[in-house]
Amino acid sequence: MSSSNEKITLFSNMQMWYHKHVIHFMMIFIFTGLPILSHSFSWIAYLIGVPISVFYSTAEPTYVGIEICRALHRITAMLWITLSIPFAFSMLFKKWHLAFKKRKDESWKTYVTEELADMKTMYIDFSYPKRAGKYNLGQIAAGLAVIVFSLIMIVSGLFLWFRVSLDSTTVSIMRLLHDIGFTVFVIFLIIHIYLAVHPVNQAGYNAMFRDGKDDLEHAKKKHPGMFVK
Amino acid sequence: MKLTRRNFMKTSVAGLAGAAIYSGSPLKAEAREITSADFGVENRTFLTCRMCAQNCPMVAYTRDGRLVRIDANPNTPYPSICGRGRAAAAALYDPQRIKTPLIRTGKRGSGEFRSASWNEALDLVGNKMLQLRDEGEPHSVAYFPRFNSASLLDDTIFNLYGTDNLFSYGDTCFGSTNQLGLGSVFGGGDDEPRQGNSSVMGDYENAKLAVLIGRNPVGGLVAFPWGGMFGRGRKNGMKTVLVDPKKSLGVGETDTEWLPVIPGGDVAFLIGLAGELFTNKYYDEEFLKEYTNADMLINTETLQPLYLQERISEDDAEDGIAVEPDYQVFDTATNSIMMKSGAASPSLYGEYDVDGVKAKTALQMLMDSCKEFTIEKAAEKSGISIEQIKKLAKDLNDTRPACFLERGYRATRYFNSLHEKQLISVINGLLGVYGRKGGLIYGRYAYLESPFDYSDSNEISVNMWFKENVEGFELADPYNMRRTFPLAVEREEPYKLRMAFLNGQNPIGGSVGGHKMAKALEKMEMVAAISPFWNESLLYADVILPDTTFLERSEPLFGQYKATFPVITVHDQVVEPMFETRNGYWIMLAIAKRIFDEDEYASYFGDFEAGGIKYIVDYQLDNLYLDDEDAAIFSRRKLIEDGVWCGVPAPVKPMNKPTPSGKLEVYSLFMAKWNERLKSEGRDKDAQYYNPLFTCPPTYYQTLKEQLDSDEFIPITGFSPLSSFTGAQTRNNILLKNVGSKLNYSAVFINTDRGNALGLKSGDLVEIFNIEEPSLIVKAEVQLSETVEPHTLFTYYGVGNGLYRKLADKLSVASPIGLNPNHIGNLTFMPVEASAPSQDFIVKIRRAK
Amino acid sequence: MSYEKMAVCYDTQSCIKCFACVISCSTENRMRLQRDYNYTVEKSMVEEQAHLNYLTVECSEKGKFPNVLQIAAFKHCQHCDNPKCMEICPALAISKKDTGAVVINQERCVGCQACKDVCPYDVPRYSKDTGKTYKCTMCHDRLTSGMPTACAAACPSVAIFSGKQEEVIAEARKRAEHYSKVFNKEYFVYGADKVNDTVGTLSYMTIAPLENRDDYLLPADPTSGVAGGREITKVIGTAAIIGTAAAVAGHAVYSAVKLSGKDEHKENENE
Repeated sequence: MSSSNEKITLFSNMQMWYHKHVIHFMMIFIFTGLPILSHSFSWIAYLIGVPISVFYSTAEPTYVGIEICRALHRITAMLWITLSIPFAFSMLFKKWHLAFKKRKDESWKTYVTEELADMKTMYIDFSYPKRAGKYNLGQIAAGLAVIVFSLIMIVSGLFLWFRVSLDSTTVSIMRLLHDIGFTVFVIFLIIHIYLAVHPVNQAGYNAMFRDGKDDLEHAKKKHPGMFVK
Repeated sequence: MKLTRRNFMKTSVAGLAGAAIYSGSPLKAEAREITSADFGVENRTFLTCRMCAQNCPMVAYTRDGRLVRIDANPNTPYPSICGRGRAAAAALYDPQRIKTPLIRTGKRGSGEFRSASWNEALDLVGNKMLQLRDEGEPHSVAYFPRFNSASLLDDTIFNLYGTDNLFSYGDTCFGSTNQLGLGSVFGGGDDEPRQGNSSVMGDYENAKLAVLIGRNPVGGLVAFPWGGMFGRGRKNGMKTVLVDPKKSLGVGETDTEWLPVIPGGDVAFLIGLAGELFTNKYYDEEFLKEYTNADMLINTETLQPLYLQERISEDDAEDGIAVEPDYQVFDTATNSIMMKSGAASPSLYGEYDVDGVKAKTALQMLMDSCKEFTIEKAAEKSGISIEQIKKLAKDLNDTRPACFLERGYRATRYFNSLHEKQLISVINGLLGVYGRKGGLIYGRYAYLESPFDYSDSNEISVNMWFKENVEGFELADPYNMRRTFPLAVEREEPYKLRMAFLNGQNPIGGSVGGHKMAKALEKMEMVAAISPFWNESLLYADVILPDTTFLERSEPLFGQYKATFPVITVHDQVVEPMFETRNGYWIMLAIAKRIFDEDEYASYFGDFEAGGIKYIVDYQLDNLYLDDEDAAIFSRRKLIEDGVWCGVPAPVKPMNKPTPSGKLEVYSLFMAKWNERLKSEGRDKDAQYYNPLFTCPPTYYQTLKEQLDSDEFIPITGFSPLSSFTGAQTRNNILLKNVGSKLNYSAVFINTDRGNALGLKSGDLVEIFNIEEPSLIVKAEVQLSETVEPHTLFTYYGVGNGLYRKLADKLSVASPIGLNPNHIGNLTFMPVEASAPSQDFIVKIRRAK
Repeated sequence: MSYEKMAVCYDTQSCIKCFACVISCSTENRMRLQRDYNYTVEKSMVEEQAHLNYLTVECSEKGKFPNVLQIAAFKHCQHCDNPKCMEICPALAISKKDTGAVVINQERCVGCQACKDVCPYDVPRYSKDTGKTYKCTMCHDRLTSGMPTACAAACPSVAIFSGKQEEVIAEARKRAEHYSKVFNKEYFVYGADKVNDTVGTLSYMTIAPLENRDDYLLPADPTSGVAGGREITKVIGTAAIIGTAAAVAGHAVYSAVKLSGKDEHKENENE
């Protein structure tokens, strides 16, 4: 551990709590969503449906499975949306880190080039970056994308929920958006989880899942941009 | 698991899932693999369809005592029933049927009734009839049969009871107009030449060109055999030309020509067409010479034949040898006037001076009468362009004799309809299509006897009295007329009518001037009714007896088909009567028991009561008379096994007809006779509708107004294949409505440009009223369409509840609004033949408030 | 049990628009409710249950009075050789039978309506009452019992006929040829030949004038529209996911090699 005992808080309790639950939600979303997405995943519905249909219903296991998945998908969505409201609210009163940290006197080109160089330093050279703030450009972009696609998923999902009363073109478009959003999320999650467990992010990982804190010294090295006034 | 709504609601607690997770008994896939055994267990019953009046032969299948499927009886050359018949189950199981006897509690017309026992209801009716007979006035009972379920028996009971006042619906349909229209050319009948709707019919299967005037063979009923024949014609490549104010779907969508005729402008169009045929010699000279009276010499002053030797029958002839009619012609072989029988080569043309009398051949008369009416005038008055008339004339010439002009159905539309029907028959004669392959072929029929007695000692019927005593009714058909009823009630002539008995008939909805029918019913001391369904007229009844539908009763054999071959069908009961309904025979016998004393009853109906329908069927079969060729192939067993028997088709060859001249009268002597008679009585107005020549008498509405205002239209009705007449069997039928709503069949249709000019758009609510009855206002949805002639306001017949909004809660599937022109029409009568000019009035429309 | 390939054909020319076929289809389906679900006809026959009309009517009007074309086109499952609905159905509820019939198994249908989205002819119909989607089954049960389809059985004018595929096609081509000659314009049999790659040939064919193909809802190039994007998304998405996973795996290997090369990672140099 660092010799210094000075700590810096990277994540609030609220953030950590929310993040943990989002992990569960995402898992449920994916598992219950897949059998509705394509028959390639009907085995999931089947696995769920078989035991239930044995005990409670004589209906087709796949049918029962999908209906259960669909119900869980919607329940989870409601919980997630509900939890997101206080979270989003609390975030309004915090420093907003997910913004492009371009200085006024530099061009976008310089900013992006330097940030990309930082990312290379971090993920390829496994060294400390020069200017990255709390989040580097990749993280900022991914974070913003997650917010945007979450909204897309929520809106399109709600449309699909009430598809019965909508015209078929709208439903088609919403279904397409939900599909695209899903793909984006899967790609994001693969990268996100990988990098989270990658040794370079050990501290962040620890912070997120332990007490939300990091050593100040380490943070200064890792996130120099956070300490520039 | 059942797919019921309630079941679904109950089980869909997993609402989040949007659908239910069901539990219960095992399911079977809709598309499971099923063997023929699944279908073999159904019971099969042969019967005839009564969703309209045509009795198309059908077969019904039941499972667990329920009607599950209806098909056309396959044992005919044209197995065909239409969608209406296939939707019979929705009528049978209609929860809004009349379930118990009902007795009126509110005002007449209010629709308030209470349930009653059969005994109470029957006693009410029976006692009233007894009272009237005791007072010596059984003839004051007016009987209105239609879709009644006690055929043969019902007429008998009323006749034996003492009334011949049978008000039938024919005056709004085939009545006099269509009968006389063909009869004037074809002959027939005793004093008046009448021909049925199916005396001749289009040989669709072999035709190359069919001109449909006032006829949609599809929407317009008679699936068997006309619908079947027409479709086969289309399959064989028959071209169709539709002369109609509304373009209809069924006559063909892509390879059909639509000539949008101004309402009532058909006569002008026909004259223009005939003129073209004459100008270009597009007619069949050989046919005219051989089979028609085209060569007859006519006195140009009187329009009568120069000399006619009338037919002398065997009885009247001195030497007992019948003498055929003969007439004078100009023989070109001898260049002299002589009798047709002696002429070697009678001329079709020319003007001759015969002993100072100016005479022309009949054909010359016709040709000259056309010349006076130019094609320009024809185009203007009919709304059909000169090019279209010319093209049609040429097409007819190119295809004859495999072509024809249909003469229409529900023929009584305008004052000039009779003349129109006559001209159509004449033009068919000019084209030489009678009795020719692909032209018009003849019908043949089976005649079935009734086992019941009739009395001929009754008081003269109202209809017969009108015919014999009232000017304007001389050519009426007293057996097919009902619109004399309100007149007779109003005038109390020839005597007071005191009771009306409606058996399946809806005179208010079905006859033009329905509101006057309603007024007349209100004046009755009692109105009794038998019906399975609600309708306008029942609102005015005092006692309603719930009838079965045709699926819940057996009937005698039926033989009145509109086919080229005789047809006999059986009709067996398919399912048990629903609710407390009883079949018409049961009801009629119950009334008979109450109005006849025991001995009378036993002698009239004892055998029937003991033997049931089988007694009538046995009698019909025992007394069946068939021509030799039919008798050779008739088998009682086959009739029962197949549910239908079809005889031998009429030969396809021209036949001479029982006209005064003994020929097909392209120059109608019947018309000439009536023209002369009416003129001599100073009735020139009437006389113009009776003329053997190509003349153009006006419609009634044209005599009211030269020009329609921008918000005025002529109300035209036509059948959709999803509605029939005014009975609720089709009106309150969800299976039919599912499809009908796609056609917006309860709307009124007007031409798009005219609608736009009035600031209307499709879907707007409008109020409609007859300009002569402005207090009767009907609401309807308007639909703008390019398929409507601009003078026309088109409605499908028998769909909406119209003026009688009280019906809305009794028939909740039916459209609560929508126009039935009959409700607000005039009580006018066709000149002299007195049937119903059903569309001959002007309506105004305005946006509903 | 295997069956021969069957087909149905609708002839717009000899059709007299009596709609007996539409009613027959509807009543047959109500009969099936009684047969398969004990839901009696006396109830079903008087309920709207519009989704049981597997054959529906679409009216259109084109042109100005008096030169107006009025068409009541029939809309029904075409029973594509490549049923897009079957591919997309997540519940494996849709299958193509030996007869050529494309059938929704009602017990498996979850009512997601993906089939409706993807259908190039917009055919499947969702019922709010049952939460399931319905469409024509080509009367698979009747065909395999040697009976004509309900629509064909109902037709009084020989305009709909069903039977063995090759016989139906032969009759259809004969009629189209005859009409082309009589009416002097081209009639074609829609679906007898491959329509396009999306749907292939059709088991429910239509004879119509070529010039009116769109009026009769017989598109030359039927597509799945927006829903087609879903298929593309699935392909691209899967590729992208695999690509990402591969990249991540590559980086992991790279990290392992690079970090094990050093004694310690800089990040951890103080530990």
